[in-house]
Amino acid sequence: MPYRHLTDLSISDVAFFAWAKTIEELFVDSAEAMLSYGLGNLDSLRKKKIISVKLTEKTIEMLLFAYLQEIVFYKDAKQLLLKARKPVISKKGDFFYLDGKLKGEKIDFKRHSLELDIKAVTLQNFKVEKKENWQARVVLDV
Amino acid sequence: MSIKKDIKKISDVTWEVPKGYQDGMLVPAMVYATEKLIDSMEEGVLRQIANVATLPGILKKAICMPDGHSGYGFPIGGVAVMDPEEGVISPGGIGFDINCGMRLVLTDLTYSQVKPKINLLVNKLFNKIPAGLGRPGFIKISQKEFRRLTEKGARWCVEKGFGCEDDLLKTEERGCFADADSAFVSKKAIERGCKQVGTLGSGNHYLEIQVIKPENIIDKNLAEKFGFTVPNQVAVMFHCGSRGFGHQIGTDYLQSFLKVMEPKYGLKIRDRELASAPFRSKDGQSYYKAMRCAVNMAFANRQIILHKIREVFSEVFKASPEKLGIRQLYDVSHNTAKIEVHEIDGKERKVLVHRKGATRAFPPGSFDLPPLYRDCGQPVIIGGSMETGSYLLAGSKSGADAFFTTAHGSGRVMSRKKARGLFQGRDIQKKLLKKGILVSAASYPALAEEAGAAYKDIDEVVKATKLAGISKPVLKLIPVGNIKG
Repeated sequence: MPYRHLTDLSISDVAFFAWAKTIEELFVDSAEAMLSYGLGNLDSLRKKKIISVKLTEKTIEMLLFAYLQEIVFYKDAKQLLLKARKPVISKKGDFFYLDGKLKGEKIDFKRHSLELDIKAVTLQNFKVEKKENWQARVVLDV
Repeated sequence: MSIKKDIKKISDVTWEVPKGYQDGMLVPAMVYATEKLIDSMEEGVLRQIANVATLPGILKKAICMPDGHSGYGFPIGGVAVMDPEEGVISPGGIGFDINCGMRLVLTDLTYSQVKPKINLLVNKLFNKIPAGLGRPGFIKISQKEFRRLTEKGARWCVEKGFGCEDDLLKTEERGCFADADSAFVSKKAIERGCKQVGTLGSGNHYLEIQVIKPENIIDKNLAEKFGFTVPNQVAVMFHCGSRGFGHQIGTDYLQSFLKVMEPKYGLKIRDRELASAPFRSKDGQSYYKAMRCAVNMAFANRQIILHKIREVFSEVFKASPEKLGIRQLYDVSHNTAKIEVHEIDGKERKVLVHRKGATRAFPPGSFDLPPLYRDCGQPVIIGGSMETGSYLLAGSKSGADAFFTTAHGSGRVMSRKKARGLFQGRDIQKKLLKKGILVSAASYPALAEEAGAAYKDIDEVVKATKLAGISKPVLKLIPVGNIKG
């Protein structure tokens, strides 16, 4: 589990710290860290539905922000809970590009152990950086 | 370095972060709090309110309410009044749950009538009012119709038969902020919000059945004017907002403001969550019009919930809502930005008031109030934790210094994760039942996070608002049934 929930970063909301060897893996870990707040039994999620995601942003931070926000959007708009498949991330000129797929299914009130409703990804203390590994710190609005 | 050593005590309930505390502060920052509350306030709150004082166009002072706790950019409990011509509008100064607010509903029922049916009431309310993650509302409308709803607010609901004119009269701005324009709202926001009308949501959102015991009436005269005339009268209070719709609008404009703020307007901010645009600019006005759609969606959301409350009480007591005396006392937002007239340096001026986790509290005589309440001052609804109760207050003439604004709730003192580690949802449910409070929750972990100990002492918050003269306590409401998302 390459992430941990942070206890005291935000008093009103929830936060996580994720890390990975590659930026692509960091995106996958971050998506799972976020999902773990909403879904108590992650293993219960079946991969019945595939969603394609294409994003362009000026910074890698805002790319992760937009990526996670996309997952929040599908939860509300389509009642989909989604896990990430490793995306392709590239940089051309001044922009970062993401091409990826999310897999999951509609919320099943019988099978899924639903916990918190993540309403937004925030920029409060938001950080993506490369040290020994890639790492991200994210506060989620609940 | 601790900011607390730099704050100046002005009175027993007012504290100042001086203008020179950090570079760029255009005005001082003021905190309303008792000594006990200021001691327990996170340093981050004081830093955030000092950051707010750097926003272009801010007038007089940045203000933090007694229930202040750290938020995104602005603290929750933050108030900033801007010059609309020179100043900025900031989504972070309104909150992402735009028009998160409180509605208080009165009944003619007494606790002795409700007590034998409390299980049935709580269960039916829990089943009829979707709460928690992923539960859609019963209103099935097209995206086009939803756009209409966001422009008409609670009036849309009344026109469809989900309420009456009296409900609108007793809602801030009669349940509709004018000049809302859904052309400035993204398709994504529409898709997120369309299925959420009439849903409570999760987090700190709740619906409570409450009792007003004679010993908890603080101002008998005002209590009677607001409709509390029978001992142990029962009321219903609920707290929710614009759901994913408001959040998507907040996120959309946060992202777009970050892109244009510096290159287009030369605005530099201390925190990305304070992203802003000049109020009169095209970007500022686009957000303002979209934000007002979210305000209206939240009014409609609470209106539909009121309709469901009427249905449930009617079913359980086998009588019409009119016969049960179910009527709205008031609905007021605590996350908005509005143009209001306030006195600035002895002159009345139109200003843009940001209130984030802060409640408008207009004084007696305000023409914006329904005639019924014009002599009383605006009803102010302050929700407490599910263990401690809530308050009804009234706006006061002495609140001018705070731009007629007061607190909105208890304010957290413990993080959600920590509360989850310390408490068990099921234990809390059992403990509350012993105290006579029946709780039904969509998620036990989420219930643990809302434990009473995770919040400030609401009595102390209300005491601070009274001592500061920003609102006047009328009565305390004690929960007997609670629904949590």
